[in-house]
Amino acid sequence: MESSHKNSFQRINTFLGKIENSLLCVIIATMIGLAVLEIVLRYGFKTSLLWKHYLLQNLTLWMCFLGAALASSERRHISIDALNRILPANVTQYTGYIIDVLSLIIVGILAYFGFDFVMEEQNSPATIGIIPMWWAKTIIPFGFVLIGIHLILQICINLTDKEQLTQDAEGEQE
Amino acid sequence: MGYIIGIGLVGFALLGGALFVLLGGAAIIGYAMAGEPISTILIDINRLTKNSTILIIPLFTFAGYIIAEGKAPQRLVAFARASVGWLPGGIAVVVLITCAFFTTFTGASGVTIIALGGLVYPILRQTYSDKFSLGLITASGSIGLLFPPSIPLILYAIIAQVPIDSMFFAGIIPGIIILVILSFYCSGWSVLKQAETTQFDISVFIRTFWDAKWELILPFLVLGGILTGVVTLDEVAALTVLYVCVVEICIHRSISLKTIPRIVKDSMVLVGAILIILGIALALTNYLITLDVPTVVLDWIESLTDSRIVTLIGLNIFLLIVGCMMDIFSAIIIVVPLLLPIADQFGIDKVHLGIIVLTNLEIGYLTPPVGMNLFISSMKFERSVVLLYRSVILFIGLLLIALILVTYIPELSLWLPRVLGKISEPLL
Repeated sequence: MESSHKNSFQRINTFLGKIENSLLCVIIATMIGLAVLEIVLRYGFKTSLLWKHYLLQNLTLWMCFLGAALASSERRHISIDALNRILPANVTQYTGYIIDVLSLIIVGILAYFGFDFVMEEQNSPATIGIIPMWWAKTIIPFGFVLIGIHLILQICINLTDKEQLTQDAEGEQE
Repeated sequence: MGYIIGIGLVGFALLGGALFVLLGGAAIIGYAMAGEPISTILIDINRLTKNSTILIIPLFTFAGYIIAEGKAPQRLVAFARASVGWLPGGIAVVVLITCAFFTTFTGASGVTIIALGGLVYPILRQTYSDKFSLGLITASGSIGLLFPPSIPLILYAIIAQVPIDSMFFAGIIPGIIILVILSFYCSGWSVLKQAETTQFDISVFIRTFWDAKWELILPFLVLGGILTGVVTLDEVAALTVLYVCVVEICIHRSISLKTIPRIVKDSMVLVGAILIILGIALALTNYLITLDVPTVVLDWIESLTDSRIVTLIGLNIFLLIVGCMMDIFSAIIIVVPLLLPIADQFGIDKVHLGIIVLTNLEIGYLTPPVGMNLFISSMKFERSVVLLYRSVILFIGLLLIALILVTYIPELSLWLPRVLGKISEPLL
């Protein structure tokens, strides 16, 4: 029972990761395409794309958040964790839960104020080509939301993992 | 109250909480206590889009991962072996040079040890002791990050607001000095122990060079693109990606199109992790500036000493400690804003400061008890960390010699960019 829960948590985690991964592939391809196009336009046609800079810079923002969400899905964020290299595993297991819950709170606050920020941006008339600039900024709150979802899924996977272990242990005792 | 929060945050960090969450938490608490709107943090994160150089970080990182994924490591080791394998200690020098090349393109994140360790360890073991081989590979895992276009150089240039090309050229001579010092040590060791060398064979040399030619000319293409100014820096980065993709997918056929999404994932996990720290650190730095923290730190340093030399020594020790606690990217993002006013006060050039910082952090990676490369090597080669402590001690000593040279002879860093006219350019 628990293991099937665990599988579905993991499946959602992987599925979200796949979407983020695909978007990142598209973004990298776009960046390369734009650079080539720009060089051709500059030397071939003596012209340039005015909105290219805004697009590239906002694509970087998307890369930042999608990459960070992927890092969350695989627990590969940069951390200091000097103590974890020294402490025994059964202690770090419990501290891990505390860290995860605290992280979730902080990411939640950032996501909440991220929506605020996007609301403010809606008043700005800036555009990238024909796209309103604030559309590009929606990745800030949604990025934090994605990170939060991955965090919740990680906590669920860990919890079911542990139930599974204790069940196995009880099974062996019988 | 402040102390409790401080201790909580430090505990959170040391127990492995993600650094961006820690910085975000600190910024939220800071802004809330100062009565400032918290949405300011998000405005600062959005400043990631105001800097046109940041986007070369994902592009160069992706290019580096593509190179590491294909058969490029094998080709480069073969070429390096054919060209310097006949020297005493030549095999060790081969490892040094190949690792430096890879660290340049992948950043010092342990990728080199993981991607190359398995390949070069058996080669080293034919000639060298286990301890020497492990020490050399672990130490090599971070050399090379002074060469362009390494991500730490780019990141420093962004944070310190110095022209990127001046950083690129400033790192070359110090980087070579580190390589030369370590190479001399390896040669000396080999002569003493009468280690075997290979015969120099011109036909092998030419063949391996021809095999590796596409990778070998890459650094020159990147630097050439920057120096001639035919294309902009972000175009150089995009073209580098295109170039390595064409070389590895179409010419060498060592990577299939199907693996590209996975390489995108691996590289973008690192990029996302760095950029989100960068974004939130921008907010925290702004907050610290409103609190005048850099000035307070500067005043404190000035009250301790007014000597440039003493400051530099203190800087070195401080950075070594930081380097063994933190990875190089977050260390640069967090520490450099605090160091800039100090450097300014004591007449240390920002470009020179960058090279000092990177060299220090590079050594910090190896420093017991918690230097990150030690743990990566320990996992990769399944050896105890204590054995690795012993194996790297001598290498740390040698790197410290290089550090002293780089720190106290500014011209080593500043000469090349000045000759090329890269130092007096306007700020970014």
